[in-house]
Amino acid sequence: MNQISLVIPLLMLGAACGKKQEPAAPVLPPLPPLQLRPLIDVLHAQAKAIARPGEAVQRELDELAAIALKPSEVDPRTATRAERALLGHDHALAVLEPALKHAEAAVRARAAWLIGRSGQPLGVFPLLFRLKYENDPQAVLWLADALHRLGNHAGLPWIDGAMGVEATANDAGQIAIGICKDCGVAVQEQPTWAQLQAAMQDLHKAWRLTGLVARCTATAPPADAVAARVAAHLVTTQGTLLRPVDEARWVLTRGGQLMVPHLRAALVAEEPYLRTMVLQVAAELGKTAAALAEPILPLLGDPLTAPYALRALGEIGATQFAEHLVARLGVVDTEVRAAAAGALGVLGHAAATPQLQALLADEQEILDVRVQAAFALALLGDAGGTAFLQERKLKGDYHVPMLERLLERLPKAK
Amino acid sequence: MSLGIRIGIVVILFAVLGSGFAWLQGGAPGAVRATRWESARQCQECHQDVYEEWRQSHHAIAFTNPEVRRPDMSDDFRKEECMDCHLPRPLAHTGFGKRTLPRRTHFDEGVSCITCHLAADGGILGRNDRPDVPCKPRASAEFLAVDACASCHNQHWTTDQWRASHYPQKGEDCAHCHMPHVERRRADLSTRIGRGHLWPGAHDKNMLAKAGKFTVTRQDAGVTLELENIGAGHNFPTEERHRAVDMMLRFLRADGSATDWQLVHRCRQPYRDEPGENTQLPAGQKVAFTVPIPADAVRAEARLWYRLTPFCDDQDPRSTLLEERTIELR
Repeated sequence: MNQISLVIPLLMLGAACGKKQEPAAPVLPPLPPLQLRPLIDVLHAQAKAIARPGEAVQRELDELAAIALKPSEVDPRTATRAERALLGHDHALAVLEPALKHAEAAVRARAAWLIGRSGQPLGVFPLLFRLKYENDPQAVLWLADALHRLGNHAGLPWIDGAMGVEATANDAGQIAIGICKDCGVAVQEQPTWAQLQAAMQDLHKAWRLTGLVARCTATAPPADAVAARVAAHLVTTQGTLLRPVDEARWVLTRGGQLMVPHLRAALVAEEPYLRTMVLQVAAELGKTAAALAEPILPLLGDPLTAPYALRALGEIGATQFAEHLVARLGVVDTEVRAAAAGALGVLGHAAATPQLQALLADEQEILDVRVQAAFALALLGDAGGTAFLQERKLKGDYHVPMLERLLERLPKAK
Repeated sequence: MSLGIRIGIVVILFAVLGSGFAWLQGGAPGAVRATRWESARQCQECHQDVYEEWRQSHHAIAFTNPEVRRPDMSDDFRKEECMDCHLPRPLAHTGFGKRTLPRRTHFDEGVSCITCHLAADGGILGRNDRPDVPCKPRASAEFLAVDACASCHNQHWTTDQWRASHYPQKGEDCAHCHMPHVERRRADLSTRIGRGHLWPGAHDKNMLAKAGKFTVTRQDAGVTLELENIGAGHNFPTEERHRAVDMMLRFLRADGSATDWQLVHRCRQPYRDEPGENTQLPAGQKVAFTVPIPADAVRAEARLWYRLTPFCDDQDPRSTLLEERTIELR
């Protein structure tokens, strides 16, 4: 007995003499099983299934497009007929999509206008893609207008911006009034620029939350056609070239609800770049991608993609899974601890405040994790979090752009 | 033995064991929490010289370099896909030669020791098996192969260019030029041969000057500028599309006046939306251009410039003068 009573304090002493020991592994709530499977070949096959017209139909469409894209070069009656025939054609995108890259800005603008009036929501894909590169101010406006008509409000910030530029203000204002009417937003008889800009901002905010356009009349496209388009973007992540990935991300993160069901499948991709891409897109889509919470959850058990999964769960507002995030504040992987901490703040999970405060106070903890804990606490209204971030900024001992990006996300003090 | 002595012995034993165990787990007090290998600072403790070299390299500043963060580049990494290579997770986690994944920690370490040396199982990869040292590196052929660089550096086909060249036959890989042999001193002051961790390349004038052989000769009524890729095992220039090598020429008159500098030829791969062909110079190939000599010219001056972006002028620090030649024409 004497020896036992001697050994116990000595063991404690021995442990205390060493450096801080590894914390005991946290007990993690059980996860649904992770069932990954190869997907890249499936996606390549899907991408190849983007519908193309046969040769004869293509010729007919080319003729119609030649007239409809440059209506001033023919008599008005012919132009109207060609336009009507083109807009009623199932394969109109086969000629309008390439026209978005035409050398003449007026043709590109006209192509966007026609796609908007075609009522074919698949047109969202080429319109969004073009929005990334279009430099002509007028063409940009018609791209944004067309997107609205097809149920996508990703272009509204461009309309908002164009109202502040003299050359485009009138057209942008007209388009904005039309959008307000379509969406049931009350506008005065002669609204001010500021009112219209505020309306665009509100509508865009609503779009960011839901990924849907109120009172949109565009018909839903066939699911397999959307899947093919989404697949064509996802396969770009297979290679090492970044530009196509950048383009894919641009389109997918602006696609709203249209994309969400088709992203789900890639969450079980065995290829890490595919499921990472989807997780990053989901995080960017925010609450629009809330439906992805359940399929994302098993990825918390995947060492490669768990950090992205945590961030995505935070951004899409998966409050139902907050306990999984809290449990991961104590895991050994720094990437995971940091991601879990930040995500809890984004989720607004106030119950995690004590654990986050403990992380923040732990001077042995890696600074990346403490900064994320501080960010989370700041989002939860804890002044200590904000003070820690400000202190880092003042001392310059943490990566400045990252710190600034976190500070930008904090609610502004009133 | 009295109880006091026995307690004393056991206390000392536990203290030593405790400290030793903690050291094996992760290094000196004040270092990052060493739950596992995740920061270059952990490597610094034993490999100070390599760490210092790496700190001066462009790998170390891959994520912090203001040049990379410009709006027309990564836009402060708002283009998230740039992070895959500028702030990568360990290559072995995703597979050497495969697409990398980005991390969100250790922002000031860019591409670090961990990126290349950390094994998928959390161990350390190296040139040799060394079970006798704290990090216990294991020899890995994959880690030493060109694929280790390809994950990021084949972004613009640099490793493909190397494969298509005669360099593989020569047995000269990326490390041959970019990680030359250096002498390292061990803790016991003995020496060994290791590899440099500075990766000289587009930002190193000596390295650039070795890539191209620039000659200027008079050919009848013209001046011929010739550039041969004699030193790069890939295109010259390679990597990003904004890298450019310019052959410039001007003529001087007897009164001391001079013509404007004219761009005789630019070696560069155009941007995707830019017209023109890829004029990068593959390994072992040469280009030559002859410019007619004006009647009043007495001398010709030729310069070979390397530019980090195609839009910077000669005064811009992003332009490096590699060669300057003057020939008398009288």
